[in-house]
Amino acid sequence: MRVADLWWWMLGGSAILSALVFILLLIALRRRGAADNRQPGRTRVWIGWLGLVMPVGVLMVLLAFALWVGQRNLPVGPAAQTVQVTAFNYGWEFCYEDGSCSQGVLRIPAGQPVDLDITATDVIHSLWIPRLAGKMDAIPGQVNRLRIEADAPGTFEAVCAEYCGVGHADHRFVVEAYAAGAPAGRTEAAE
Amino acid sequence: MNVIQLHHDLTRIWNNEPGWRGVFSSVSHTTLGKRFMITAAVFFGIGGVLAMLIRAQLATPASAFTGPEVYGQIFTMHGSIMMFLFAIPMLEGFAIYLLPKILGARDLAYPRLTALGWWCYLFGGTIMLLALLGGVAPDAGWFLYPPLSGKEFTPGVNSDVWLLGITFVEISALAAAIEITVTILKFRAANMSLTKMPILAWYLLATAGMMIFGFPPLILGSILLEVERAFGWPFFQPELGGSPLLWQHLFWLFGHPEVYIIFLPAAGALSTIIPVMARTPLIGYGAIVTAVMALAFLSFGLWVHHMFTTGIPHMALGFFSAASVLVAIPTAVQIFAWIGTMWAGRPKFTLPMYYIVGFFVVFVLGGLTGVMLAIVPFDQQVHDTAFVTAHLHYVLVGGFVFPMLAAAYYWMPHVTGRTRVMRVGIAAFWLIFIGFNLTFLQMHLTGLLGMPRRVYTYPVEAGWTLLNLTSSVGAFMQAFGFGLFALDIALQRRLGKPTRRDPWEAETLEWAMPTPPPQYNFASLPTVSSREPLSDNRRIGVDLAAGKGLLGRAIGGRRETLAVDIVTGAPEHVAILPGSSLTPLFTALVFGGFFMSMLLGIYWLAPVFIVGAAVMIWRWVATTGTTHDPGPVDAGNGYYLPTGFAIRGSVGYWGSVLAVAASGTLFASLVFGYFFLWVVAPNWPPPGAFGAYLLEPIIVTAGALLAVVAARLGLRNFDRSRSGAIAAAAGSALAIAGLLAGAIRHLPEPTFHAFAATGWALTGFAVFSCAVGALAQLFVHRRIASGHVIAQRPHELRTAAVWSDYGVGVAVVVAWLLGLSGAAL
Amino acid sequence: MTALIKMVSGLIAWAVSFSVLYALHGLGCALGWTEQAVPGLTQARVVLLVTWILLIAAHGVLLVWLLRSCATQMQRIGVAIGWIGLGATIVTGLPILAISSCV
Repeated sequence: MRVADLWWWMLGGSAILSALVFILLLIALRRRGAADNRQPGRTRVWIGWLGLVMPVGVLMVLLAFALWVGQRNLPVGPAAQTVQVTAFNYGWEFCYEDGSCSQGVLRIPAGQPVDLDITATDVIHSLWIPRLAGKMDAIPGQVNRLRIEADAPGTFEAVCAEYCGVGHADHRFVVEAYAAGAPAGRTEAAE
Repeated sequence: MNVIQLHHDLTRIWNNEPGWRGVFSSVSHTTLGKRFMITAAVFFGIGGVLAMLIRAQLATPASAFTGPEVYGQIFTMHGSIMMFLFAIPMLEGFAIYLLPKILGARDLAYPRLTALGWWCYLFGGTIMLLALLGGVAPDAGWFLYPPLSGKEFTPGVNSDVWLLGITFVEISALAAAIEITVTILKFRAANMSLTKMPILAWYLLATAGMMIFGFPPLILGSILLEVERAFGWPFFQPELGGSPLLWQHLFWLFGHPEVYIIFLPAAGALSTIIPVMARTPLIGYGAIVTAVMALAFLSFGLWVHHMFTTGIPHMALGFFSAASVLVAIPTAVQIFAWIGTMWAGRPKFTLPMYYIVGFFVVFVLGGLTGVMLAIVPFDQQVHDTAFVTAHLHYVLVGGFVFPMLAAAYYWMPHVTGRTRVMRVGIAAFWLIFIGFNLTFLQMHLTGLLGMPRRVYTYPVEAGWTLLNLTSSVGAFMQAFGFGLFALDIALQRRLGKPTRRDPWEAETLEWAMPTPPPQYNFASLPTVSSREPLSDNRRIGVDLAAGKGLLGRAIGGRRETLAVDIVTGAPEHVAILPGSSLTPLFTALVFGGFFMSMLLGIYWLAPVFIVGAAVMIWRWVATTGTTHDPGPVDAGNGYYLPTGFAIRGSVGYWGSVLAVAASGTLFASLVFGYFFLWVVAPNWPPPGAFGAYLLEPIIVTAGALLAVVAARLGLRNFDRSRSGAIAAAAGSALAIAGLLAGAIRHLPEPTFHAFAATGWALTGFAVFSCAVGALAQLFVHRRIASGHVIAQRPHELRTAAVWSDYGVGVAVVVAWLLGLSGAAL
Repeated sequence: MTALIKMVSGLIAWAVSFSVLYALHGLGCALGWTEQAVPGLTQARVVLLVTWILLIAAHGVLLVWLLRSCATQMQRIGVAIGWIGLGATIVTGLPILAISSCV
């Protein structure tokens, strides 16, 4: 998954950069060197190269990579199906293209992109299926679209990520991804 | 000998009044700066106790310590207290105490405003605390997102406490920001040009400027949400054309600059302390000034990175992502400048240095996770999880608390005149540093494993148990560390040995005075020729105490300090400051009456307090100025300077310009809100047909022209100024009439739709601005009659013109905006 | 005061540019400027691209004006800030080149 790649690259880069800063700091504290600041070259190294050029270089590469990854995750192009998601205090309702609805369980075909059209009826919630995609807020009065895709059949936990009141901690649901060819046994989830 | 006499006289003039009266009437920046810092430290303790309750609850899964209702109040109040009642007031207190001393002045530009700010802070904070004790504290998160914080989902008084209490405290923040800016621009040592200022002054100038433009959006948001809750104007209700996202924009338009508002003064402290500890000048003064300015501006282009998951199109997210990445660069410049300074010098490993090293470790890690969060797809994954909790504590504790602890140890000998006695401070450091990292380092992982923020409990099978338990252990370790720090400071205050002047061999002017400092700071005021006045002249403190500087005199019992040209620092005039006064306390009480009547829902009483506030402010301003100007005075060292009364660009004028800038930002935010709802909110256009109307906008424009032209005529020819002031006030009144007529005849009820609600809000704001302008003109009319304003003392005329021009300017924009909107709807 | 405002003029220009681009983008998407104006480019993107280039040009003009006086340290800081403003407007506008306009 690309976001995971992004994370590992950023973690590695951060480790290297923080190690660089800490080592320079340690040497600076230890060397108790002669007061040699009057040489203008020093300022150029510290502020010009380390302070300016290095971060600009690193950050521009990161930004370009990030914009590219973000662009690829956008819901453009056709999706296998679109599910209407409504969040409320304290539950989740999913309505499918065939007109049926379920509460507390979202059923999606595995291996296919699915668009969720997310809204809320009372306060702001946020839909988050940690293993499938980033978050998308459920905001009263507007519909936000999130594209998800489960690589393989299975069950995925999902939570509400935006504080929505006293029931926030238990405001959860489950995603069930079924094999795409199999008959979608849509029983009403017990909630 | 007359040096002793000088000190006696200055002490008599500058000291607070004796006894209890002095507690209530003090306007001294030294007294009030310390009060701000002590009050903020108390709130830090309260916020810390709340944090311990959070960690106690989360230490084990399915804990029965508190329920979700109480937990909601605890985490909301922890965040609100730490942000609004600790961090901001602490940096204000730091600036208020130190600024005149490092600039070589005797007090801030508006001493009574300092006092007003402290009383507002105390009263607003007390409202919040009483609500906490009464179990009705805010409970919708420190960001107070509607609709959760709205009337329907929080029917109790909880959200009102936040909206009114915090707005009350914000008044003090805005007052401090204006005061800090004018003080830096005008009250400096002779010949201290802007680029000869100590670097801390640049940081504080940037901070104060950011506060002037950053706080108004939040104040506006709070007013709108309170009006929605109290009177049902649907700004944030989507079914009536409002949008909950408008609140998020206004909140974060303040909320992100806020982070840098907190960080910059602390970074300024680091830029001051590190060179002293390294025994070498800071490298790259100009580069750091540039970086600070870049931070100040760029930080206003980041706010949407708190809203990456709200469904905003990806291109717009990209703009903010790019700006969020860019802001890391000026921070990197400073980090490497500090390390380079230590590299160049020979660092002394004193107690402040422990905390500075702690700062580097914690803040660099927080900065790097900050860059990660600027990356849209990554943020969408970890947003609202414990990863963000960890990040923000690394940034705020690393970027503010550690530097301020270093600053506390660095400046304690200045505040108390005593050195530290025991090695308790080192033990405190290790407890805080290890405890902090034990709390928050693995919390990044907790977040990556999927633990959301603001949950009061979590299931055993989630697998977060050990991570949370160790976080809780670390948190209590920190708490012991902070307790030990408080003990250490108390011991130093009581038992420390008296120290010599300038114990750190620093270069800035606050060390050129006796410690603890006398209320007048300097017996005579310094002249500088470089950024390091103490190394130019090691005896400068003695010379100033001997009265060899400027204004080494005590004449007529007046509090005098030097005002300089903004850019060059050339001596310009002698500013005469007000002495002890109860007016700030009474004004704050009247403000408090307004906020309490709103909070308790006694709405008919609120306008009484608004009138009361106008009366108090009128009386406040009326006690300044003079009817008999002494003429140019001998300031010493060959300078003959006019007094502040006879100056065109007095400090009062500059303060008004900045207040108008803050008010204009609030107005711009409201206009943004109007268009935002129009373009983005659902359920627009409102039902029904609205035509354009032109008559009322034309009336308003006529009134505005009258006001502007009349004020100009008065300024150009003093003989016409009395009638000019009356005509300007009449013009403002005509504009008010036109605005009200337009709204009453053409706008629907404000509860009908967000269009009507914002229309009435714009009208109300314009009427208020025009009323202030009219009052300013009526005031100046009275002052001409009483002889305070004459052709040689014209500055109140200019100041009044600023207010009335601004008021009618707002009125014209609002009138035409609303008049023409109907055609497009 | 004028000297101080001149010193930070590069960043003021960036703040204006940033606001203009963000507002224009919001307006364009709200009004549905998503038709193809030129093959491969939506109307919103064309408008944004043109505005962005004009804003960059304005930064260039400002920088030339700032470069005319470099005598004092404040003026030199002003030149540096002019460069920063130019760079910031270029970088914050980069998403116009690569990202879908209104999704």
